[in-house]
Amino acid sequence: MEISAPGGQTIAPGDAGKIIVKMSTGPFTNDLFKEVKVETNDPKADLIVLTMKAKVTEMLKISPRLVNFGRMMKGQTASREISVENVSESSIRITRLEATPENLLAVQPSEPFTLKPGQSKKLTVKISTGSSGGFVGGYVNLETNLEYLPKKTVHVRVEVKEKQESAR
Amino acid sequence: MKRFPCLFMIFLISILLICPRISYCAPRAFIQNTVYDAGDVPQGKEISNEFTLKNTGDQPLTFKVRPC
Repeated sequence: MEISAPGGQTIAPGDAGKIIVKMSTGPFTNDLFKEVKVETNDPKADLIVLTMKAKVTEMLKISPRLVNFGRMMKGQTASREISVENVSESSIRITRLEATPENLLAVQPSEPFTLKPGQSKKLTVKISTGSSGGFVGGYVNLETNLEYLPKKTVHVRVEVKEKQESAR
Repeated sequence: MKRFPCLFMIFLISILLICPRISYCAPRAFIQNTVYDAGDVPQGKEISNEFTLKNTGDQPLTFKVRPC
């Protein structure tokens, strides 16, 4: 969020000042609600709350937003599908697909593609758990040609176990 | 002894004359619309609004702005 008061922070009697609030809707989906506090030396209104509201509509719907592979053993591989849908009214190009960490995660197809309005595509996220145990977090980034939505991220989680837990 | 009521009256009149002055000598902050609803916005797009803060008082108004 960017807040500015271009005319300074003192207003003479009878004058008016401007408070400009700018914010990106990038991290939000559905309802956006943010407040800004204005503290003044007015004894009767020493705190004024400004509110910014919006209904954020997704252009590129990705489902699920989190790929949880659950518990896996060392050296195992698994895959999950994610769906990417263009819910806007114009074509969207996915210019780059990237999975991180590269040694554990991969996304297929990894080539750029274009989605027409209403079109969707399935992607496969593959994981190879490697040789170290513990919780592993990663992500798949989809870069777009949209100026105001340069990137969408799908988070990936897995818990890598040393050996199979015996049933009691 | 007769001077006491007289002094008291002068004090009372002075207070009555000063009090309204005290209550008017203050900045007054006024913002017409404190809520900005941008409506439907595509994800990723920036929203912005210019709030106008008016000083309707008779002393300079100072302010600080910070996000909640």
